[in-house]
Amino acid sequence: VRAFLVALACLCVAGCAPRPSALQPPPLDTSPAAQWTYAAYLLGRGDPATARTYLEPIAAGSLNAISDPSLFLRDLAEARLFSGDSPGAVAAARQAADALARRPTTAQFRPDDRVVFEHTLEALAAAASDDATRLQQLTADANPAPVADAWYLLGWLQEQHGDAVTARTDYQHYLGLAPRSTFLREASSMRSHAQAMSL
Amino acid sequence: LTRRRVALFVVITLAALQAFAFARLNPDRLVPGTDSEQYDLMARQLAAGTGLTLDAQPPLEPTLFREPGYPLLVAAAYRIDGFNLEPIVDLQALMVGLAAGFTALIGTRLFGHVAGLSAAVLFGLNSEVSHYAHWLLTEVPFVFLLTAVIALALRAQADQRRADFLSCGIGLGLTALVRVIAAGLIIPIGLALAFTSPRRQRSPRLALLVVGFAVILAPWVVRNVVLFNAPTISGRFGVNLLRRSARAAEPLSAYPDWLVASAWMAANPVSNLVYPISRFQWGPDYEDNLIWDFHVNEMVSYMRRYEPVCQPQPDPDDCYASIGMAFVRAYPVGYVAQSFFALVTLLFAPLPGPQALEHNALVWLGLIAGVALLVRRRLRAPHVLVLLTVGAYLAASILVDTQQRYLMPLLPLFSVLAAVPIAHVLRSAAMRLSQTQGQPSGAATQSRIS
Repeated sequence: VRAFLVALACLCVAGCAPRPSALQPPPLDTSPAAQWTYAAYLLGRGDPATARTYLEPIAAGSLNAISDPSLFLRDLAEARLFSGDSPGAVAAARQAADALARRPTTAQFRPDDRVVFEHTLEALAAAASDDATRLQQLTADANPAPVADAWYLLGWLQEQHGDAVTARTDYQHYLGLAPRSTFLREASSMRSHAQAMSL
Repeated sequence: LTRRRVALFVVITLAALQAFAFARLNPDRLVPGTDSEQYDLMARQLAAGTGLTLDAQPPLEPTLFREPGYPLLVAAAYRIDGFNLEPIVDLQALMVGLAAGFTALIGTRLFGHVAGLSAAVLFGLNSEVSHYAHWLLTEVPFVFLLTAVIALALRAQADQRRADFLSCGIGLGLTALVRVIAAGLIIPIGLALAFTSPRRQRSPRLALLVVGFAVILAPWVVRNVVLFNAPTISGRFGVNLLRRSARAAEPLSAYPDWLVASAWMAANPVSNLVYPISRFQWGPDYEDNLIWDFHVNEMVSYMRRYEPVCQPQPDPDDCYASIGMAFVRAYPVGYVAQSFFALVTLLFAPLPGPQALEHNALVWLGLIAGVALLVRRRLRAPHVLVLLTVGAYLAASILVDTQQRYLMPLLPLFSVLAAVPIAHVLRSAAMRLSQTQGQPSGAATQSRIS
């Protein structure tokens, strides 16, 4: 009986232990919407380089079939930035800002939502332009909501420049605001990275 | 006794017929943009033998987002009669009638026959309840199962029969498979039954309740552990919590508008006569309205902010839950303060019209009668069981998620409470009538109606 109970306990422990999720296969559907969804999934897994291989072909064509061009272009800016294409990230962030300006304000996309979105885009553009001053300004602007991503990108920028001490402080600020004020697709990977750097 | 049964049968029949008539007058079955479409898809996939999934096309990934009870019921109907929704709607109309019958049983056990029958009329002939029967939604099956469970719990409490404890547990398990919120009710019902059982028989009878509950839920929970490593009934906690908790971060300057909207909704539709809802309109579209902001728009807006982060995750609900909990931890006072607004949105219908008059009047009457009973301390063990159930349901709804139609499962119990003053008035009227007709028959009339 004891052996059975021990075996049962082992099974429960093994069954309840967190397992890393397997990579989903690419979609069979070749529509821009399906490809974008898969790219967003890859970004969420922290794989911006592969995500770009799905985003760039869509960006090269018309965005008419994309439900939310501003969000698509923000994803493109994010993927380009974290895969090393800073000029491309700046361009995508600007296009995203233009698309956002064309997006109508509605009862469910309110002025506050717009400002939060704009701040996220500005943070991406500032990081891609190596503009730490602008990022610091964004970290100080908590109206209508703080943008934790600006703190992360500031830390990321400091890390790129080899200043691990300042980067750690910025990452700690980021972790203080995440997950409720972080809006980029890679938020989960960003948190893991910030936690690892803050140790 | 025969007259009472006939009266009950008449009310059950009328309630079912009214729901059936509403369904014939309203031919739409799927509510666009709601869970209705998901239930249809899940049932179709189940009927086709591809399992419980929310994917219309391959790859068909299994899901735990929705509870399986209702899709299974609809899938069974699809297997029998093709993809025809009418048998389900007819079954739901019948369930409305039966739920009215259970309401009568609950009311009779708590406050006597007149109150029980009045409660059944208030609930069964309620247009809001009848209206829900024509849609592919869980409201009607859930309210049917919940009233059955409460009626069984009251019988278990009164008669102390083992079969009733077991049946109550099984019923509660089935109810939780339709809507997970019922799972929490095992605590108030179990506590109320524990305190009223004889000490020696307390443990075995509670064990029967818990075993019945667990046996029904176990296959579904085991499936979720195997497939998702998640020992849960449904994967919607995070979505519900975030819709509710993000508002806690809003500054004090947002509160005056919410207070105005709350007061307006609580007094609706009387408030609409004094201050029409059109005066809250701030834009050209229908949704551009302060009342609608308070009730729906803000929740949707919060969700959309976080969708880009959470939707691509392997477990989106876990992502939403972690953000929702972060808001609760960061703004505990704001979260508690928001509970008041959550209670208002749960209890009161937001749009003016006859349905709001019917709904809100019933709620107010039920609340006032409930408070009066508490103040006058006319509570016995069955009342405590029902009030604990109502309290637990409201608390679970308020703390996690709030939508107006989520109160519908409690409408039978609000009807029972609201029936107390109505029964009192009926008794007084009958007494006066019998006194005017002659003293001897007065006593007989009183004994018949009490």
